[in-house]
Amino acid sequence: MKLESLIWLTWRQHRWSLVAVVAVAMAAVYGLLTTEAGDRALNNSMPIAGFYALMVQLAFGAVVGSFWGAPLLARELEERTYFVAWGQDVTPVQWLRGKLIVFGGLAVLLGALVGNGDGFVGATRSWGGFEANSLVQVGYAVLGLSIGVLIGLLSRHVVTAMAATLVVFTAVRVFLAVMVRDNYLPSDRVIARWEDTPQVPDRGLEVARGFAGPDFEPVAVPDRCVQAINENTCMRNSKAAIGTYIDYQPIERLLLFQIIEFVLCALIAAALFAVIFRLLRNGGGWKPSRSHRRIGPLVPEDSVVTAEAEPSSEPEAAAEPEPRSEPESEVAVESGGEGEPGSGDQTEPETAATRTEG
Amino acid sequence: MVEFHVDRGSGFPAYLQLGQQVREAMRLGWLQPGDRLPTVRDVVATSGVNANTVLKAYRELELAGLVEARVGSGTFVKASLGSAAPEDLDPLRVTFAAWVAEARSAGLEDEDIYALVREVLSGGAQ
Amino acid sequence: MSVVAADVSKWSLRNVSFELPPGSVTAIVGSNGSGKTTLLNVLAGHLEPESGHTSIAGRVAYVAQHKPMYKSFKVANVLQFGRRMNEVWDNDRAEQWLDRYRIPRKLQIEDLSGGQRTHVVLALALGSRPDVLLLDEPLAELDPLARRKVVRELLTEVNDNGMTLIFSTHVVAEIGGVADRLLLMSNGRLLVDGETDALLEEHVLYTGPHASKSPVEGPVVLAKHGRSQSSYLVRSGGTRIDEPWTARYVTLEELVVAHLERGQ
Repeated sequence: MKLESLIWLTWRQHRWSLVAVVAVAMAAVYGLLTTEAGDRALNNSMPIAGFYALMVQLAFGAVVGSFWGAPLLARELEERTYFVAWGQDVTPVQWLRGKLIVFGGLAVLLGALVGNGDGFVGATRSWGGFEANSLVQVGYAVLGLSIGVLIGLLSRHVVTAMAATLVVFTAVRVFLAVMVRDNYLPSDRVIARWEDTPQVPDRGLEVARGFAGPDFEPVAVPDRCVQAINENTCMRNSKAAIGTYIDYQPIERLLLFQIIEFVLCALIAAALFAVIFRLLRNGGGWKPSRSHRRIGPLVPEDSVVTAEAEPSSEPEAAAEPEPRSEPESEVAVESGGEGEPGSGDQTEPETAATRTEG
Repeated sequence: MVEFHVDRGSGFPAYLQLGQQVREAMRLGWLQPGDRLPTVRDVVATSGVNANTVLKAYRELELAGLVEARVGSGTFVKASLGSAAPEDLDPLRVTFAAWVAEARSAGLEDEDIYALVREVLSGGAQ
Repeated sequence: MSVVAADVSKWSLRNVSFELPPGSVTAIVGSNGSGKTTLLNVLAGHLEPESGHTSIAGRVAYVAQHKPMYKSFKVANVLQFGRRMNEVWDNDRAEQWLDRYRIPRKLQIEDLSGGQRTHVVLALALGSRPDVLLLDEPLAELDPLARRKVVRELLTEVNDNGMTLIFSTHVVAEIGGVADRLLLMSNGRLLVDGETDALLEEHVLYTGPHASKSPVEGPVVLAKHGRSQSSYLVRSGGTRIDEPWTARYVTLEELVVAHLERGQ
């Protein structure tokens, strides 16, 4: 099926949500541009436009998931228009693939634009602006889309799907940021003897701190020191540690971590899309459409059904008309056991032609 | 030309209804030998009857020797039904119409008239 | 040879099995919840049977019960949709159907009446040139005049294009002469499957004095006994009977009701 047709369909069906999300994203892009080009004297400050852009960066994946992903299947199922969508020559798989190409392509494009800046005047690089990155935003957008579509397919209800997508996506994103991100690579460590305090190197991201033992590894604080007034003094006096340490991720790894996060999101999204297509193809009962219509074994002769007299007026018919003489009165009755003698009077209409399915 | 009408709720199979209407038209002289019956498509399009039903009706008439199907040109009336010639029929119709008018003015409803006609035909009563 | 064959079980369907010849017009009749819609969904491929199989030769178009259609589409968009989503599309046929019922192309689906919407959905189905057209309660939202017209037009399409038509309905009084086959369903079972005319000719109602036994040979569909009278609906195929019994053919409606009563 031609992609162009599916693009047309996607636009015709979802134009308002397409326009709305694109508008939100473009406003954010505008905010980023004006901020970056802002007054140099205000370096490192955040104008309101930049703040808006930052908010969009926080929510972009959720917006894509809730407004594009969730209704995509849920609306068809809720309003039963899947009878229309999947009752044509387009198979559900082709249909979904086409729509996802449109939505996915736009999500990637907008994500790349939205992530292009951090909302502060001047170009800066910091762990705090981790999400202000095109790749990361692209990853979130694709992840949000996949979560939305899957939830929509399962819930079959638009509003439920939108709300659930928001919740689930936010949970995943927070989980990534809080629990996972710090550990993409083993952290570096600085250790300071008792007389010093360890310092995180320039713009590094602190991930842990504590007491270091003689082998420079973290040591647990013994009970008596936990209860002590000054933990530090207690540890020092009891010679339980040689000093303090801080684990951190250096700023040089920022880009690498962003790439890792993108890859992670993309992998999760790919897995979810695989599940979606599998459900659509096999389970859920939404089998269908013309080319998948034959269920079970098929007798080859069934594919050509024709009639007598004048040939069919359908030029594109693939099947050749062939004479059909014997009347059809095969009847099978189940339940109730009333065998039914067919009367054999069955006649054919003047023309009857079918084609082998195209 | 006959206009077919099918009583869908009737227990009388539709193809028999069609056949009966053709016979009636032949008796009344509306269909003469050589006349063409409406094509299957016309019947389907005008009276909402299944094409198979029409074909079946025509086949039944053909088997009864009343019509013949000519390949490519349609189905034609072959025989004539009814013993009366049209010129005899017309005055009878006029007399009967006058009688019906009289019956109506005497307060008889259609059902009463039918009953009366049936009774007279079967030679009963009196 | 058959164009539609099914032998399926699914939820409410139990061992429903039949074959339909090409070019036939079949009415699926049954009370609400008898499994008509499930059967049509299975035939259309939207539901997978739990066991058994269906086979349909050729292209299928299905008009579901609630006439689903995108509410934001204009009528013209529906035709565009049909053209773009199908490999075979007969735009004239769809346009003609809409012209016939004077459906304005600029209206949105949500602004159409139920009857107009039915026509739009039918136009989409016909435009895709189906070999088998499945309709679930197609006439439900039409007024009596439009019903007749739609039936006429659909039968003409069947005649002109050799289409096989399967529709469900619960208005038995409207299928005489229209459907040449009848599938009568009750509680997911197929009670009757046969040619309408043959069924009408076979079923004879005998009425006479109180009797505990049918006056003729043949399977008794339904026996009713009053105080001094008995009646037997028998699939005997003849009206010949001795006094004091009387015999008459039954209407399709009587036939259906009798089988449904018996099926309970």
